[in-house]
Amino acid sequence: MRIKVKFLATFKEVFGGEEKEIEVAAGGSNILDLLNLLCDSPQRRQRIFEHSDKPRTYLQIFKNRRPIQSLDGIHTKLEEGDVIVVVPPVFGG
Amino acid sequence: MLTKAEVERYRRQISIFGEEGQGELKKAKVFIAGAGGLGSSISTYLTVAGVGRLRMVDYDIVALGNLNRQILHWDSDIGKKKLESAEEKLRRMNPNIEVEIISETIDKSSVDELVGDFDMIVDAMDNFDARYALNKTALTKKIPLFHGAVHGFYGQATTIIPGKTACLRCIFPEAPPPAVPPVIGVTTGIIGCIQATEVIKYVLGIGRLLENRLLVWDGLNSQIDEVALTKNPGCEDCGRGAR
Repeated sequence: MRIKVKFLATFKEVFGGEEKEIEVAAGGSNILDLLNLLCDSPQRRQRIFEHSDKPRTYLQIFKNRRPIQSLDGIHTKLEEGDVIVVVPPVFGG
Repeated sequence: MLTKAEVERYRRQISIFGEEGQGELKKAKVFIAGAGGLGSSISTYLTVAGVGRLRMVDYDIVALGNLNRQILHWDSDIGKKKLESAEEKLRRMNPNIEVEIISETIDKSSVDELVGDFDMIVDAMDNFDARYALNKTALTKKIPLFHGAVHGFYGQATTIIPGKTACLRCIFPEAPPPAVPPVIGVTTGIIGCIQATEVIKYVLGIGRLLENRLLVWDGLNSQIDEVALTKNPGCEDCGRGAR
């Protein structure tokens, strides 16, 4: 199934800034699977994952306008046509 | 009621929204949480626009490392309280407006009283714990919260209208760990101006606010991205999970 992914702010420098259409396995893929798929280099992996298998919990990942923390976190299932936006923490002032 | 001098001072913007609109700005009471990078930009543009009353809260002292972005504070202000430095400049910019300063830390125990009966809150903070406290107060008092934040050449802004939009906790359920982010002044300028624009539009009831929209500014590519948002029904601050 096909979903759309976009990385914003400082993540653009590592993942590129354009929205991408990604093919993921139907029936069971989740956000963690997607992140593992997209983090295909040590540089990308370091930006997203705190330890080897755990993404940084304070990343803002939105699935269809909802932060995944309000859904099922990194285990949130993906569905055909989902729009995933990944935003790094921005908190300075 | 505007004086003749005020009509002349604001003539170029009165041509946009009329003396009645200017009168609305004059009546507005805006609480600005922070007198640093964002706070400098926000307060400057609200002052010159003629927002009648500003209340600014900050506890910090001006340091050399602030001066690349905190444009209200100058070399000669190093060592002074930021609020005293800010008040002096803002009053000189526009003697018609009232600038009230309170040198205190913003946290969940203080923020309700600090905001008092002001009409709206502008977020010029540098950490999410304080932002969450502003969020709760905005929800309790049912007043808007104009959020902004920066990191290097990147920044974000959104406008939170309690009862109508996602609140700050809906959007950002978890705070990042504390750190000292890189910031260049132009980013605090741009994001602060976006926040000030939202305030002005809200007071005047014109234009389209950043309601349920997270504007993400990319200064390196001079690009704006927008993330559509929605309320979280289970939000611990505004939804079923609220205590």
